[in-house]
Amino acid sequence: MTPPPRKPDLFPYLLTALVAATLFFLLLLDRRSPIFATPAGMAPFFFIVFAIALTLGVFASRNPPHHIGQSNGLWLKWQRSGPIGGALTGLIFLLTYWAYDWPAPNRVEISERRVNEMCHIVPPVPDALIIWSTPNPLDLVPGYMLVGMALGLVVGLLFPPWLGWMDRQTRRRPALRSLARPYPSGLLFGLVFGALIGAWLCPLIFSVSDGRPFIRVSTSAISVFLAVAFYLLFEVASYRHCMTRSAYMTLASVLSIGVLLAGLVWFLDAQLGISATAYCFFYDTWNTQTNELKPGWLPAIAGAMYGAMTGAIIMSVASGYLIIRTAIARTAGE
Amino acid sequence: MDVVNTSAGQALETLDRGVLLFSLGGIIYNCLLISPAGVLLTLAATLLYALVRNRIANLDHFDTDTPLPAPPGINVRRFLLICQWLGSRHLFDGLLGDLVDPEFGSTHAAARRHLRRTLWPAIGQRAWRTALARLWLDRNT
Repeated sequence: MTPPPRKPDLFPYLLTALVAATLFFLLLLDRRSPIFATPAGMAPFFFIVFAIALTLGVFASRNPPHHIGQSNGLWLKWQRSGPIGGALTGLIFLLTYWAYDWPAPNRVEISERRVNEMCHIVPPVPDALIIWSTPNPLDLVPGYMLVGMALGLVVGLLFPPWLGWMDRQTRRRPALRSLARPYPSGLLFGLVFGALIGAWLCPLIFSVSDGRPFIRVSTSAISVFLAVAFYLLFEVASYRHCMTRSAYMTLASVLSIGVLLAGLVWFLDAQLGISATAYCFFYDTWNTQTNELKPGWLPAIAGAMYGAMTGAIIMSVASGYLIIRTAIARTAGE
Repeated sequence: MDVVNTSAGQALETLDRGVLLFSLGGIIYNCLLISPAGVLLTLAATLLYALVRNRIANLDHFDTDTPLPAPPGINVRRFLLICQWLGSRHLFDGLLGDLVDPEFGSTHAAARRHLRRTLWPAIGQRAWRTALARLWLDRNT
């Protein structure tokens, strides 16, 4: 006897996403006019929002592990979906960067032009050594798309072997078995590879001295979330006839976690001024006479932290793709 | 598997306790700083957490294919939705079970009146008891 079809139960997840989005916009509002009387007043709020993200994370990680060989032939191959998603991520990243960080009369940019007042440099950097112009944002499009494609290729090529490796490693250690599940495994992949790529790429980007403003940590978090989430929605929309209830539930929960994580980063950045501190930290390792980074590990360490944060958000949303795929394949197999 | 679930359950209970303590602390702190928006935002985040947490805790309990008993005159779908979000399966079954009693379920109007009078106080009491239990103040545990 076949069980009766389950009724769709999307309402709780849609509402969670909606309220999470409301909280997110409250965070945006806090950036314009502070809601909390002091930065310390937001600490409990920070903890509670973190707890919401954690609860949804625990829920998402209950999904079973993915089998590498399993394929229903419906989805784009990893090797293709990685670079396409990466290029799209690069474009949306640039768009958000331009919207939030680019110099404008009502925006406070983080750049070399404000380095003396922002980082309290003594003696101040002379005007002659500061680059006062900004590049044309359109000129940055190819570079961002190429970097996005390269990063997408890394995910597309390395994530499936990583999952297999995690599966083999944790099979011998039952205590760590839950790490082989798609969500924790994806998050770990994002942290490790994000840190490795960030340690190499961030100092490299910082040393491109063409007068562009520094990308705020919150801009990175929001733009990678938007980009990967849109890509995920695009994939889901293409194959909506195969989507099941559990696939929709997974989609809603990974998107909610992404919103909350991005909101948290935004909130912390706005309240604690992490981006300006990071910029001054990078600038401290900058040789203004030669416009080059000074040798040492500090820029790489800062880059690794920046990359790990971005990687965790990317993979937190991207692993939803894998879980949704597994959910559909499982339903098809039943 | 049960071991994992029990430890995860305990960890989530500790998280609940942390959220409640942080919420109380945040409300008091923002009151001292005279920041009504901060109080409201902390309260909103706490309610959102409670809602999400309760809904996720109820996922397995309501995940059944057996047809639900439908007493005449009662909108079970709406009742189920309220219990999924704000109550529990125990509450849902208990209140529906009450309607078997001729005193409460004899007519449609009586059944609806009984539900109206008992549902919200029961949800409130459950929330209050849960909060007390998380603060180690529940004398029955």
